[in-house]
Amino acid sequence: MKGTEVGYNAIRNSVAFTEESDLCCLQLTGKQAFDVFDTVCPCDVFLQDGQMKYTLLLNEDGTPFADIYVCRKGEDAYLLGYGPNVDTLIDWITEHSAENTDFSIIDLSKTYAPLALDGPYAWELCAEVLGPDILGLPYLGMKVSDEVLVFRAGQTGEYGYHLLVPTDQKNAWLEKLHTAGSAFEMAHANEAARAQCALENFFFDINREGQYGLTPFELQLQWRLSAQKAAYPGAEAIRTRRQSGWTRRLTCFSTPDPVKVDTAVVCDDEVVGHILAIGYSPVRGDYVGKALLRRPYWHAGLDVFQVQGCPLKTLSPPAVDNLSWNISPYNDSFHTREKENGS
Amino acid sequence: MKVVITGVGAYCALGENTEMLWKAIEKGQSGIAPINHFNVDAFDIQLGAVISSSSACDTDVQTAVAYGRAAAAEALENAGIVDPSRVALVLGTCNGLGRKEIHAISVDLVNFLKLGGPSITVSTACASSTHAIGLAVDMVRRGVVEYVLTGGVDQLYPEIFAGFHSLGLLSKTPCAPFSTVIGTTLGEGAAFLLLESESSANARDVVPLAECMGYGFSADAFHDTTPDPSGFGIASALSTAVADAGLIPESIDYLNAHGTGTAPNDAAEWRGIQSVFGDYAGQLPVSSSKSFLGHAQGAAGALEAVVTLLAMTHSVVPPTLNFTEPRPNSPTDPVASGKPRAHVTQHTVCANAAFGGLNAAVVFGQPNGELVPRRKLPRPIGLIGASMVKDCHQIHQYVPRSELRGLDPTARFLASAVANTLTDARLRLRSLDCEGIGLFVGQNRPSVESLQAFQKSVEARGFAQPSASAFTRMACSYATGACCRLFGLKGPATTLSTGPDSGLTALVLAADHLAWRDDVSALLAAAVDEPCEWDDFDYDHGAASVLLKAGASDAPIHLVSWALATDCESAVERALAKISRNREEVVPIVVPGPPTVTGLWAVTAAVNALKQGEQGPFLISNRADGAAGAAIILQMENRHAI
Repeated sequence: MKGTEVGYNAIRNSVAFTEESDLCCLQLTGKQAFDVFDTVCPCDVFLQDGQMKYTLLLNEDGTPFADIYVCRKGEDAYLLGYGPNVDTLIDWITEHSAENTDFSIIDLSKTYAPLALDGPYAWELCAEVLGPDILGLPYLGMKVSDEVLVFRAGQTGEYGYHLLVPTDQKNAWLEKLHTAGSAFEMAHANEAARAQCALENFFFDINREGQYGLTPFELQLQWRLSAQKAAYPGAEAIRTRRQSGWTRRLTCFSTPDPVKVDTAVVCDDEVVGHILAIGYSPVRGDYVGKALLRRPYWHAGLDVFQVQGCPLKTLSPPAVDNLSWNISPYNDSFHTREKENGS
Repeated sequence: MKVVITGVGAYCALGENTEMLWKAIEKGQSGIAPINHFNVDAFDIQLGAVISSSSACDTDVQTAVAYGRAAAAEALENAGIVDPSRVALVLGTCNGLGRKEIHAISVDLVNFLKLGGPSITVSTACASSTHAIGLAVDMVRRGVVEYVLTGGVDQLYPEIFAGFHSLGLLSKTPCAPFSTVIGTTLGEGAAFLLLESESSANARDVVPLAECMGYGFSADAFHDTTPDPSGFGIASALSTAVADAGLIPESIDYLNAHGTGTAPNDAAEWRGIQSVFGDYAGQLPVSSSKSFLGHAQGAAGALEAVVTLLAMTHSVVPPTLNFTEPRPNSPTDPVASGKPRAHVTQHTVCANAAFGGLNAAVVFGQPNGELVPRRKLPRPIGLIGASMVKDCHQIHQYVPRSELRGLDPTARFLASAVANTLTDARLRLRSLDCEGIGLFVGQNRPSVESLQAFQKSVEARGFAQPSASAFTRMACSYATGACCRLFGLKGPATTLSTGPDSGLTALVLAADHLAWRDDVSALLAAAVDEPCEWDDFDYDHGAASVLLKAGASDAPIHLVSWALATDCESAVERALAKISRNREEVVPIVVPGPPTVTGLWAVTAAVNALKQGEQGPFLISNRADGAAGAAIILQMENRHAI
């Protein structure tokens, strides 16, 4: 718990470091690399050079198989994904891309080690170890810097960077990060700390709410799908669900007391949904989570619910004011933050 | 051939001529003050570098025209030009006269000054006049005319102030580029340079102020308003300009930056400068004249060029005013001072960047420099793709709807034509092949729909809260920038007008650029028209484009000759003379026009005819009453050298 608290505080106030053992990293090469993306992804794969996009890979029943980013760098396609392990992911892509032949998939985890930096000053530490060009990397942007593949796409609500460092240079990079990071009060963040920050920002966790057999509509992830695209794995199920509509969806909530996952959410003695995820938010001083609520109870801002006798209020996420909103690489610095805050 | 500057003129918040402008800069006197010539009570920011009152504006002409007339007349007088009949005009303006017809201001200047050469208007938002200077340099190099008057004009209209305000780009205090005050201050004015060849200046016994050594254009292909944060686009323009001048980055002694004062621009620009100049960037004085002049929109580049030229002649570099503390990752030497710094400069460079990611840079040198060797023969030009569209919904075949959100009809028409053309040339959209391609667009005005959307937002919400997105689409070059972004085109890109038949002019300038310069291997020439209720005649609207490739000896169709001249007859004569043909040997097609797109529709029709086995060659020229005569000759194989 102590480790989680330290990591959480680092994510929220300075910089946190994580070795991302659960992140699958693939590179697709060949003339049909982007055709493969187009075949398997439910989004419109129309990427500018260096641009990333959030999307999903779907099972035939329309439920998420993997939570992924797709990215273009020159003629190469990159995929970062959570959910299945890397071999399963490669097999799945290969199986669903049978009509594309001119491509190959490279498992980057064999040659690169995935690290992550998250926090309101992650940009500043990145710039220190990778050079000032990193400051120009926009959200959902990717660049190669000093042999390191840098993807700017955090899931904590703060500035976030996924760094793929060459495996044979991993120790050198770790030392470099820790040396430079000490001036930023960098701390290690475990998965629990990152998951809590993600929960406070309503980020999707495929290993949590992704295991309930829900479609992107119920998960509030329909923005990751194209409304026009017709052919991709799971397209038929998605089309059917679009036509029939859906009667429940995930909603962000807060409650002052800890309650268990799967507990019923009640309104006027009627069960209107269930808790799917919950965690303590040190910033707020209460618990935040995701509840699967049915229509018309699924809206934010309702203070009419109870769970195990405790009050529950639905919120519009994010549930916290992420510090990064007020931190600009143009005129802020970790080293002068107290002066800037007037304290 | 050396292109030299023999005259300059300026009219801005610092004074009514270049002498007043320079005196103010020497004193460290800023032109930024509270705006009083339109009502800014509704805004929390009320500063601008506006021209308070002037003798030039005492007449009944529109204010922007008055600015232009005064500055242009000074440049001509300064250069000792007594016969304006041999002077061409290449004018950069963002707003023209209220944007409805972007070329109208050039027509007025041509008539007022009695200029006899062709006139071209460039409208690439804040980089307009820098693009204009670049195109003017090539007109002198190619011998199109003897003299070119080039520069920019823009007036600060209340709509422009409101638009920038709605984008959150204005500073509450006078702008301080690269310093901790974030935001820009708008300005207005006009500035002109008179360009001619060195031999022409020598023959007139005129001592040049400086040499215009080279220029570079580029596109970010990144965003409608935000520059590519990596600085790639501005770096590309700078490195192209330096190479065109036959120099290495270390031989540049001073850089007059676009330096608007906004956080995204200044940071991206400095990154771009660092990537071009490397370690030398730390020693390079980099200042922004916008701290004196405000951001004079389309006139900014020309005004900053004049400031740079005057500084060169006085052996100083102009400072960045209002500079207190440096921002993180800003120029090492921003010339942070209230007064110019003594510094002898042999070579200087001015850079500007526009909404939509259209960048331009020009290099100036002292007139005593060595002659830079240039290409002796043009590269042959193949035409490898062509398309015409009359339905802007064709774009849905190529681009997802989510990417088209906010695109106005002009941008959709143009994007449809460009996507068709790239596909016709068997190029994959957004591939590395597209990255090296540039885009020259002939366009008579911004999207009517966007102009109306902005106006409606003003009527609905008042001047203090207009639609920011509609405002960004009001730039004439919006469609050009959007196409570059959609298809990943990062080569030279510009938007220009010669009035209703601009398409053919864009094609001729693109062909010329491609044939004689080595900074790009393929260029799209395009034209676009959107239906407009204030036109007093009906015609089809749409877009057309062709893809030209240099050295494409295997291309089935070749652009064997092209010419730009004062009138269409002269252009036809020149185009024929280049390939030693007479009129009986070609199939003439005279573009009926308007609209703007008609010229390129005629070209695509000729391409189709050639593909279907017609003999040709086809000679396509514009109408007799245009602002510039343009003619091209297309044939199936390159039988004749140019």
